[in-house]
Amino acid sequence: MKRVFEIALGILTAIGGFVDIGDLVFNAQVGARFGMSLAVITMVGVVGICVFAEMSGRVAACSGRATFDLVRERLGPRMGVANLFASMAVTLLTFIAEIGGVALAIMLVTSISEVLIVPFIGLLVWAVLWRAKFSVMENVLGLLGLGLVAFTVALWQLGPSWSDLVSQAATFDKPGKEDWATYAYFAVGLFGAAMTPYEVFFFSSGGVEEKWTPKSLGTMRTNVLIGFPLGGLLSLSIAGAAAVVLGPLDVDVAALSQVGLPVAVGLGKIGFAIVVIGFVAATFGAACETGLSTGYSIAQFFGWQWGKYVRPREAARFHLVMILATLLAIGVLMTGVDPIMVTEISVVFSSVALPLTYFPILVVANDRDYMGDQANRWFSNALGTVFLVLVVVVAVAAIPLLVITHMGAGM
Amino acid sequence: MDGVRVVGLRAFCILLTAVTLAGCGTGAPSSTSSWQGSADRALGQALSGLGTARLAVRVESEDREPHTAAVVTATDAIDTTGKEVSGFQVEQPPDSLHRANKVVGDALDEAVSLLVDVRIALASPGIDRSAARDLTDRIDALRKKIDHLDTQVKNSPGSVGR
Repeated sequence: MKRVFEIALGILTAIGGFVDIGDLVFNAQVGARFGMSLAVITMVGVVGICVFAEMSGRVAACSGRATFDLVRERLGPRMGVANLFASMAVTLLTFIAEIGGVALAIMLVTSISEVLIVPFIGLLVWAVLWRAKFSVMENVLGLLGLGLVAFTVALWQLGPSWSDLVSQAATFDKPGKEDWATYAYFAVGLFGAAMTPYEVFFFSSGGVEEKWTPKSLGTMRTNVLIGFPLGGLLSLSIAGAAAVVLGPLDVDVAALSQVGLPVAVGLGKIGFAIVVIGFVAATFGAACETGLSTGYSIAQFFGWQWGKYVRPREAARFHLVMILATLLAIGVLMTGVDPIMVTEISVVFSSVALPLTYFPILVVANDRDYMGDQANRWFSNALGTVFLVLVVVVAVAAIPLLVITHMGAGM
Repeated sequence: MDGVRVVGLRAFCILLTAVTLAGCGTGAPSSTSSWQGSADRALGQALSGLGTARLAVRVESEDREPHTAAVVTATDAIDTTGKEVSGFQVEQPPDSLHRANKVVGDALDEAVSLLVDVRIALASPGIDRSAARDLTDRIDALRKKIDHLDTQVKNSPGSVGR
């Protein structure tokens, strides 16, 4: 019974923890402008994150060591530095965006300017990273993040033409008023949002923190293969609700307040309250995950003591990195920069960094010295290679598309 | 051979910088296609802001969202529309499109004014169903006008304002 409870909890937290500020913004933007015509990209992204999360989880369970630790050892310092630099830059940007996202969500119900809220959120994130137990942090925020299921219920309640939505999803086409470059830009953004690098680092480091062994592989795979796809369904619900409510009014989503409107229209005040709780939990949870990921990646690369199961005094440099990252995030957001713009940039730059993140994982997962008989088989390698080719294409296309489409505003 | 490469690289960098700086000049008229792109984006953002305001009015009048959230939504619509409108206004139009530029600029100003009206009405004293209907009618009328203008800008910018 305890094991069933553990698995159920793992799946629920994987669903609730799947969506972050990047998913919220990009899925709503895409739904409002392109209907469900990019749904297939979300699905492909979900398969991709499942492939690499399973691989990195397996690496953590079999070797007892996390990604950065092994990348430097297996591929040398040069590749390690490239991997560290790219991933850290993107994770820091995402961290800033998530803290800004929490502030925007709170602003929705208090109307206090997000710039004034940011320092308190930063302080709270730091306090959680410093004091809260890893499992409590993951489970509480993951479960509260399930508030985003309100999008699925709202979509149902709005009574859309399901055949229209399915037909849009099944057809490779764009609305007449949009151009193909903008379509491609949002496809890249959706893919980057689904495959954000920090998710994999956090997942594998979390596995080490929770002392996974090869015996944990079944639970880990269940969480990944059920939880993440269900989290992907949440993303599709956000896009679907936006397509039904915001699309007909030509709304181009540029603020979190617009993302919640379909739920207010579909479910009223109670639904809206639930979805705001979901916003706060999803962004706060992702802020904690990205904050931890900054500490994990640097500490693992330099071989410092790290982890939340270690006393802060014994992992002082790990905690110092997280404190500095939090101060940097607060400082950037206090300049008044638009958190949604930071989110869009972080998602696009995530796409650029994808190959540097996922190639080393594929290499390490094939190394029998670390993995023993749990090394990749042909199926994992085939999927991994297909996705590696995809992430390279996406990485090459991301920046040119960002420039020529004026960040998705159109050519 | 290396010397030639270095000189070539320097020349390329200087040329690139000159071209970039020339493109950044605020006084130079933009090309027709560039003006069309800017006008289309600004009008699109105005349509989006008005669509958002329409929804904010609806959820407020039907009591489907907390009052504070509806006001924040309307304020965000002003912010995002205002930024795009400012971007359009600082660009120099091509000489042949001054009249069209004025018509688009006026429509954008009208949109921002209406968004401000909506935010003020929502914030205080709040709106009942009849006030909501009035605001919705004004929003719909302006959306129709801007939509028509946007089509003209894309298809035949020279005909705008004639």
